[in-house]
Amino acid sequence: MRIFPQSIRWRIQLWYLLLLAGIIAALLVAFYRNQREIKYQVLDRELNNPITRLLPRMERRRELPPRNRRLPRPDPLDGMGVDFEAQSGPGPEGGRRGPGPGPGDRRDELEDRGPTLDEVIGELAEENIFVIHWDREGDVRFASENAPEGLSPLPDGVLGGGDRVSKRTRQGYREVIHASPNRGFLLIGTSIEPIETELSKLEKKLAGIGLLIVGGGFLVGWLLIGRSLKPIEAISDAAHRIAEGDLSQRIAISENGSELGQLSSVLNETFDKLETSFEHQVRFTADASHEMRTPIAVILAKSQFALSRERSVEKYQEALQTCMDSAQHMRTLTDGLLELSKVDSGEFDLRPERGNFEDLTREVVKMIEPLADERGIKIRCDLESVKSEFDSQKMRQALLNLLSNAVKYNREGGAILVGLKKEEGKAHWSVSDTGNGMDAEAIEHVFERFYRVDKARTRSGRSGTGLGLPITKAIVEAHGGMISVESAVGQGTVFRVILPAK
Amino acid sequence: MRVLVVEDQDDLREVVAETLREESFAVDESADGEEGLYKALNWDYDIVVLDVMMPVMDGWEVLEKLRREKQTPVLMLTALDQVRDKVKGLNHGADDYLAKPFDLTELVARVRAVMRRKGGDHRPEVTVGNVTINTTAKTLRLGDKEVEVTAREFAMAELMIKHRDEVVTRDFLYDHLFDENDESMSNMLDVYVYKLRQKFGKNFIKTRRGQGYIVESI
Repeated sequence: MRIFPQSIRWRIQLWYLLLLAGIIAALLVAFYRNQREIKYQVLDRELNNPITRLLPRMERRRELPPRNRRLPRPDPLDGMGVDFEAQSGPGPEGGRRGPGPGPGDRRDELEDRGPTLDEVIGELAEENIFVIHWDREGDVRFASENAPEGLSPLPDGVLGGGDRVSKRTRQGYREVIHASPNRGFLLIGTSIEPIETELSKLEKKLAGIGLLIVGGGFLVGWLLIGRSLKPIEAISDAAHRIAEGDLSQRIAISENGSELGQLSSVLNETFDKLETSFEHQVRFTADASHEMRTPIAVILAKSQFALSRERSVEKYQEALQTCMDSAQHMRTLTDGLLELSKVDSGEFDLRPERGNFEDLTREVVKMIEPLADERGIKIRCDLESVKSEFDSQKMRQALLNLLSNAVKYNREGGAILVGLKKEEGKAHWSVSDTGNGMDAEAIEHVFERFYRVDKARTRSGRSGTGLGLPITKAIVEAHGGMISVESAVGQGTVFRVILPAK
Repeated sequence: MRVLVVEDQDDLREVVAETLREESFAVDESADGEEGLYKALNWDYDIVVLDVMMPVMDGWEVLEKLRREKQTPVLMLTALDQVRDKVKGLNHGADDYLAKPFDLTELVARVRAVMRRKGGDHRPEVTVGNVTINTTAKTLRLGDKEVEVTAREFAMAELMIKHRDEVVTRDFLYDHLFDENDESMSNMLDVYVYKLRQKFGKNFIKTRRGQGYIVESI
């Protein structure tokens, strides 16, 4: 089972979203907490403030009898959420040391024109702040009208030390408790409902914002990832279509610089080569079968013709002769195809022996002379002795091909010049004829399989297989040499072969 | 019926031409497309058998140039037998297509079929009056009785019946019954007309004085 989807796009999208959501959530939570803290700090300051107004007035009422309302002793478990801290800010006593007018002055001030304790409590009640005062024994000395029932001061023992201020949040109220061994407990509290309402609003707002950002991030991410993965899609599309057989398909490259763009162009080059070699293969097969079809057609037609009715002996002989000629042509063709398929599959083995290129060339010239005589063509030789190691049978075949071409494509009564010399440790042949020559297009294709410069030129006699020059080229190259051709229409043709002379 | 065979492979062209001659066609030969086109444009052949892969001018070009001027029936002959090439041939205005290697009997049958279609006859048997010709079996019947005829006589009867109800000139007959190498004198036509009248009755071929001959279907 896979938990993650297979698609790279989805995987990247998922990771990206997780990361984005994590960051956004962390930021929003931090912001929320910060806001909450600020709000509580403000609230605490608000709850601390009345102390300066309350304490002096409480001093004055110290003699008053406690109210008959007695609050329960605090439960030890009530300490939950209580947050003791040594008062460092302005406390009940500290207030006296604080800046501003001295305590004595303030008391006078308050006594002179300030409101009474009850009035202050009333004012505070208007601000939703309640005040409860317990004496050291835990008896309520006074309490605001809006003070909730059932409140208790801090647990026992706290009074032991000096003055303390503690804060707690409990049962929907925020309370600041001033504990002093002399005065007992003064609790100033207020409902946190408004703050919490505000905070929960903020919470919702932040959640909304977070969702919006993540949603937007999803969209942007989807588009961006899609965009950057587009080349992969293009690659896969093109590969699909190629697999379906359309080899002309290529990947549309949109961004050349990116890694995927580079991959695409490498793949396109590969596809080019694939297509070219496939086309070669297809054309070669088509050409080969075409070349076979013609002699087969001749044999079939000629034999059917001969057998269609009673004929003279001469007619039968002629038919058989034609069939034999065609069969021989087919043999030459299949031999050539076999040889070239060996070249293609790398099984083209040479059996090199020491020998002299000059002797071999003379031998070949002798072989071709009767053919040349038939057409009144003179062969002139200009040969030097060049010793080397070579496969004499294959090299004989190569030279024979060149010379027989020189005869075949020559004009009646023309000439052939065969040259061989040694230069810079290499054997240089040249075979020149006085034929019609070739145009640039023919020169370009002359070494291709089944390419024939112009069938019309071979009108005399049977046309060749179209494999002679490709085979010659393969033999020369197998010997580590090269073959080239120079020609112009009406100026004859020169084939040059250069072979290392070892 | 006069046929032009355009094929660069000598052996194949010769055997095709010879076979068609034995089927009592008058056959001209061309070894390349250019010459073939020239002949096809200058004589009214009843059919051209055209090879595709040829030197100088290939079969497609010959066909295209021929079609600009003439509707001579063309049977394409080629070593390519892929469907694409067949379709190309037919789309270029070829009337039929035969891939090499082919059976000579099939070639002859197709040549005849194409000519029949072009002549408007779809079946090999046509009856004119009481004379029936079967171009496939190469027989002529008078009523129910088969009548022996020579190849030339048959060819003439075939040509006249194909162009029945038309006045056929002596030149037309000469052009369609003798190939370019035939040195028969035009008065040989009179001999064939005479022989056919002898065998099928005086009214089989009528003379239109100063115009030519006619075979009437009723």
